[in-house]
Amino acid sequence: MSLSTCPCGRPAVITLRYKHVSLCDLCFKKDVEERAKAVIRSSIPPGAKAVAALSGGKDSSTALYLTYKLTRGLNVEITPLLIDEGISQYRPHTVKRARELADMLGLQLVEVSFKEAFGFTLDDLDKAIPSKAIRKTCTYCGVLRRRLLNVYARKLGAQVLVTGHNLDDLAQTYLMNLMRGDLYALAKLGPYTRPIREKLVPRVRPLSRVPERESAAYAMLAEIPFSLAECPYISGFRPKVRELLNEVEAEKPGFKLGLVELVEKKLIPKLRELYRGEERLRSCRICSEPTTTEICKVCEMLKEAKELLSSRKASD
Amino acid sequence: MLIYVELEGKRLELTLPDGAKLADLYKAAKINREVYLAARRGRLLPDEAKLADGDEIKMIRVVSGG
Repeated sequence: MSLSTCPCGRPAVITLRYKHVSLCDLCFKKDVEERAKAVIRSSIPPGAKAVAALSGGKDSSTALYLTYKLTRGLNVEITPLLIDEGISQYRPHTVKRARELADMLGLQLVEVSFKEAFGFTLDDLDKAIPSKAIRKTCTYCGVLRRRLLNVYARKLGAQVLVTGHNLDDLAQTYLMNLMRGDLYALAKLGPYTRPIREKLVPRVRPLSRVPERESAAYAMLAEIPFSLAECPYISGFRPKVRELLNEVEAEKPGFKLGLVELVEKKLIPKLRELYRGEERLRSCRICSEPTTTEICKVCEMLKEAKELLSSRKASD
Repeated sequence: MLIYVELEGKRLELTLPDGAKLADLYKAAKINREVYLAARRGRLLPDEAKLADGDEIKMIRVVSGG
């Protein structure tokens, strides 16, 4: 036999270097499910209504599938929610996969587009952003997408919003906040963020202990419909931090997990203590959504976006 | 032995010593194993998988997103 074997005796399909083990398909899936179950069972109560952000990519598809599988029998109502930003080179492939997964699980997919919510697509906005602008398309997209997820999760009556953030995403976010010195932002993070205000739906991240590579492997082995297409607008600091972390992880397996656990177990509890009572959230003067400033980031960006789109129109 | 590697749409030919494992391929081709999953004939492989002359290994890029 040319393959290495799993401790159970079956041929291994993946090596988890940070655990010093190679596992077969069945043991690997079970291992991932146990990690996800620890998160899901501690944060989604029986009978709850959950909205799951679904893009059709590997992570949100795996997170939805695991939430569905691991809450079976607990009377949890799950609604997948897809935000279509209007990225013609990318989104149609992922939307197709998202619809396939929702059909496979017998769930009703709710689709919301930037076009209907904001009046423009991300492609429209990208064309209007000058190449030298500090704020890139990706920055607008992240802020606007997160707003729609929260607003629609709330409209759908969700007690929790399930997202596909994996261990790599968290390691990147924590490191980026540390590098920026934004400890207040760090204090608000963690595996299960309770609502500070009623308007913010708490997030549940079933893949918070599952590295990105394993999220993809799970999706493949469980035969979940998903797309590996990459967004054409990826830019900014995060890809650099991702590359840095992957280089370190290759040399020091377990580095990302160690970083995430250190931040969540040692740092975030101390920071929450530090910021306790410092209620910095208020309602945006324009849209009434929660914000830490007089006008929220979404309203600020929408104003900018509309100005950019108007000047583009005028110059055409 | 000769190993064919499909990486980012390109086909590479790599000569590895007999008895080489997937981990040796990652090292020889300078591929960061955190970024890819390796598959042979559609089946995922662990790092210790022994390679054989003429093997075709597909590197599936799994790191993406904004």
